[in-house]
Order: sequence, then C-alpha cells, then structure tokens
Amino acid sequence: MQVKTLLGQWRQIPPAIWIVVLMCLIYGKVAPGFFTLSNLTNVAMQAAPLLIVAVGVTTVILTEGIDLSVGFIMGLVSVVVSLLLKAGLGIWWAMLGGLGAGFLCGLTNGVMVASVGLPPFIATLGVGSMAYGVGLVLTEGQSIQALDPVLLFLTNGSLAGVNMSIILAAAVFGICWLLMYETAFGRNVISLGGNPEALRVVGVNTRRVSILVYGVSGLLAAVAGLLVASRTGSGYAAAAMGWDFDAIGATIIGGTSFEEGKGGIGKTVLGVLLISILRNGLNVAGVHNMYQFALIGLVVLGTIVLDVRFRQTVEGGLKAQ
Amino acid sequence: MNRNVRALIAPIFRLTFVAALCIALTIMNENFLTWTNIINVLRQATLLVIVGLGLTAVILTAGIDLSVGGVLALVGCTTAQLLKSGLPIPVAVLIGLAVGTAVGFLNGVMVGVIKLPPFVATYGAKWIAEGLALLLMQGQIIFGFPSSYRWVGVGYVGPIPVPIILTAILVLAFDFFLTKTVVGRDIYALGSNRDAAYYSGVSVCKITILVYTLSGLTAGIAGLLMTARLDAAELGMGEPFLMQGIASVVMGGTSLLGGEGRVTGTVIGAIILTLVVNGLNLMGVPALWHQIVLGAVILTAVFIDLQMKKWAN
Repeated sequence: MQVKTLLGQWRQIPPAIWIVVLMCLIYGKVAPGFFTLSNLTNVAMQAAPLLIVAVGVTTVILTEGIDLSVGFIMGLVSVVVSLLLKAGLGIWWAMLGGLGAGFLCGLTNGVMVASVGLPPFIATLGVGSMAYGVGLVLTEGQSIQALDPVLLFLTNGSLAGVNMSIILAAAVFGICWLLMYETAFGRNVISLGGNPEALRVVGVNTRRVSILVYGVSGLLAAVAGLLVASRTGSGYAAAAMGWDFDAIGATIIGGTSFEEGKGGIGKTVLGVLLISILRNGLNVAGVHNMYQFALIGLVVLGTIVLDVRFRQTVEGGLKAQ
Repeated sequence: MNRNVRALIAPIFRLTFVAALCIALTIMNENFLTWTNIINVLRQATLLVIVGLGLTAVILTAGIDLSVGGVLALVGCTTAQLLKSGLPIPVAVLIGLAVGTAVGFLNGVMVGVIKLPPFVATYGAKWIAEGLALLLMQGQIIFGFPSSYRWVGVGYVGPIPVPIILTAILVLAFDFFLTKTVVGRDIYALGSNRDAAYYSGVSVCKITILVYTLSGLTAGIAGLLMTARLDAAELGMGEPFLMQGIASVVMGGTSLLGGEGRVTGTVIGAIILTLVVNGLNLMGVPALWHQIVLGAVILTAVFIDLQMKKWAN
C-alpha cells in the first residue's frame, strides 16, 4: 500500500523536473565548471531575459492565445533604442521609446486578435513579420552600435552583489505576479481562458482584457529586447530570432496548457530554468554553437511531447479512479 | 441568393483581382504582358504553388504547418550536400525527399497522436529543421550542381519550362486526390466537423498524419526545385515561404477554419502573391520593404476571408 502511494507520488512529478535533474547530473560529470557559483550566476543571467518574455507569452497562452511575434519585437526594440541613442537622445528617452515600440506592437497584436478576429498565430506572425520588416528598413539590415553606459549596466552592473539583469527579471516577475493574482485584471485574464462566456455575462469587456494581454506581452518582450541590446551592445533586427519558440517552450514545459487556461506564470520558471540550464551546459561542455540550435529544439519539443503525454496519463488515471 | 451563385463570387473576385493586377503592372511596365515575362511570372510562382499544395491539405483539416520553410531549406541543403559528395542524382533526390517526408510525418504524429496544438508542433519542427540545415551547411553556400539535375529547375520542354510542367502535374494530381478520392473527402470532412467525421468512421489520426506528411513532401519537392533553379543551396532559402505559403493558400480561398477550399485556388493565390512581389520590384521598392508589405498582405487576406465567411452565412 505504502509502496504504491510512493510510486504514485513519484509518477506525479512532471517529466520536466526529471530532465532538469538528469541534465544537472550529466553536466556535473561532463563539464567540471558547471557547478561553480560563477557559472550558476551565469545560468541565472541567461535565464533573465527569457523569463521576462516567457511570462508575457504565458499570460497570452492562459487566454488560449499565442504570441509568435515576441522574437521580432525584441529585435525591433533593440533597433529602436540604438537608433534613438545614435540620434542623440538621452538613454532614458531611448529606452522609453523602445518600450513604447514594443507595447505598441503588442497592442496591435491584441487589436488584430480581439477586434478584427484573426486567429492569434496568424495575427502575431503577420504583425511580427511587419515589426521585423520595420527593423530591417530602419537599419538597412545592419547592426547598430549602442554602447551607452546605462544600457550596458543592465547586464554588466550589479546591485548589492546581484547582477542587474537578475534583479530586473525578479522585479518584472514580482510585478506580473501581483498583476495576475492581486488585481481584477489578472482574475479576468485567468477567467478569459477558462470561461469567457461567464466573464461577458458579468459585464467585463473581454475584448479590452484580451488586447491588454497582448500589449503586456509586447511590453515584456520590449524589456527583454533592452536586455539583449544591453548584452550585445547593439541593435539588430534579427537579434532575437527563435526566442518566441523558447518562450512558448518554457511555458508549455512549465505546465501551462492551451486548454481552459490551466497553469500560471509561476510554473513557467521551471521551463525557463530547463532551457537556460540546457543552453548553458552545452556552452560549458564546449559543444559548438552550430550543434546547439537543433539540439535545443529537439530537447524542448521532446520535453513538450513527454509533458503532454504525462498529463494525459495522469488525467486519464484520475478519471479512471 | 442562390447558393451556387454565391459560391462563384469569391473565385470571380480573385480572378478579377489577378486581371486588375496584370493591367496595373502592364501600365507600369509595357514589357509585362509579353510571353517571356508571363512564363517568367509563372515559373516564379511554381515554388510557392508546390509548397501551397501540401499546406492546403493541412489547412483543409483546420491545421497549420509552420515548418514548410524550414523543411524546404533542410531538403535543399541535404540534397545539395549529397550531390556535392558525389552521390548519384536519383539517390540524393530520394534521400532529400525522404528527409522532408520524415519531418512531415513527425509533425503528423505530434499533432494527430500526441495531440499537440499544430502551431506548437510544427513551429518546433521548423527550428529543428533549420538547426539541422545549419549543421549540414556550417554557414556555407553550396553551388555548382550537375546540369542534368539543374534541368528540373531551368530546362524547357518545347517552349514551356520544366518546373511549370512539373507543377501542373502536381496540381492536377493533388486536385484529383483531394476532390475525387475517398481519402480526399475524408480530409474535407475532418476539417468541416471533426466530431462528425470521427463518428462517421473517418480515421482522424491517420488522415492527420497523412496531410502533414504530404506537406513535408511538397515542401521537400519545392526545396529540390529551388536548388536546381538557383544552382545553389543556403540556410536561409526557406525563409520567405512560411508567410507567403500561408498567404497563398488563404488568398486562394482555403479557409483557416478548415473544410473549405481547393488547390486550384491556391494556384491563383500564389500567382497573385508573385504578381505583388513582381509589382514591388517594378516600382523599385527595396527588398527590405517586402517583409512589411507581405505582412500586411497576409493580415488583410485572412481578414477578407473571415469577413466573406461571415457574410456568406
């Protein structure tokens, strides 16, 4: 009996956690530098921008939507900041401009989905590709240098011994947590995925909630875009290609599903950790950049598949009981 | 209004649009309406049409395949590497097509068996395919293929280019398959009402795997054709096909909601899109702007599609 419950509890642990543990074990053996404090700080630093974007994508997915534009938005934001700096604007205005651009792209996504009624993946892909196009046109496809000390401080600087990007990610996560779980807006977002009809009956303007959710996702992508610009010291339209997949992967691996608004931004942390540890470990183990692309895609998609299978069997088991 | 008349409006609207585009392009450039240029436009459209064939089948089941560009690049690069390493052409081509089909099959399994949302499964496959292509190419461009291989892309039979003939055969085969066979009708049934299809005995799982496999295959064929025409293969060769492929299918009247549309429409959609790009070039719009215009085009096309549907009901 006890053995059985113990086994049952083991089986309740989602595969993502197993994979994180497995990765840590393998990396600990293969890459001696993996379990050092400086490297673990590195992991957290690399996880920071991904966590910020992924939180936005998670909120969108909670409403049964999807945002395929975040990678493009991040690239555009890095371009806007660099160009504004180049034009002689102060860094604070430049960053504000970048954030505004990202927010605007997000709101456009929201309008396309909620007001115009386009399927989310088409709307965000279309808006994203236009944002990418604007970034390309503004820079003629070149990379623009942006070596402002305040911008660079976001990745290089530290406060009380903690790296700035980690502080920023923690702050953003905290604010989003409050927004999601302590405000009417957050409650509306969660019910929007679960039961939009009920929300409408209560008199909530679901369209506005939906538009704002995409706006928030765009804004968070913009914050992550600032971090990317800060890390590379430049603005480049294609700087964050593929980040959308990482963010969606982190969300689903974490345990947020597309149906019925199940999950939450807290769970996404696990997914972000998995992807960041995977990438960092490959770097520390000296795996060439070229192999990483396909490998990370495979592991992320593989984990998603395992995870969905896992949830199906657990839910199936519960129903059987 | 009579149902049949109503069903005719959308295709007539599309053909009028093609005619209007042609007239506009002729005004912009007097050389537009020449035999050489028309053949040229059609030849440019062939890749998009072929990608659109499999994609149409997927979209008919209310699915989506975001991996077509990645698969196209992967197949192009694989075949190019194999040809360079001295393998006989048929072997290289077959392996290339097998790779594309395999990716499509995996997409189908992820969607049909594991029940991942199609855009997650195929988006993941896109990044993996591009990652594998990166591995194969190591950042290089491969060029200089045997002329017998290049014939498929640049050759002629009489006055008509080989790719156009090949595409025409594929279109006819797909149209026959989708509209005249039992399996084809199952594909439509699945898209218009999944539950009804399931209860009337359609094997939802098998059909889903089939359409995604077909999409992988057609994207692969397009990849081969593209390397043969350009006499080169590179990592980014598939990039435009994701957006343009979906846009051609939707502009051709296949609904993203599934169950409605035809590959002949996709051909028209691909031609419209090719004419638009042609027009942008004629107007001297820099290539960097195309991304913005195409983004707007696809959003508008989907919007019109949804409005038409609302209006028809």
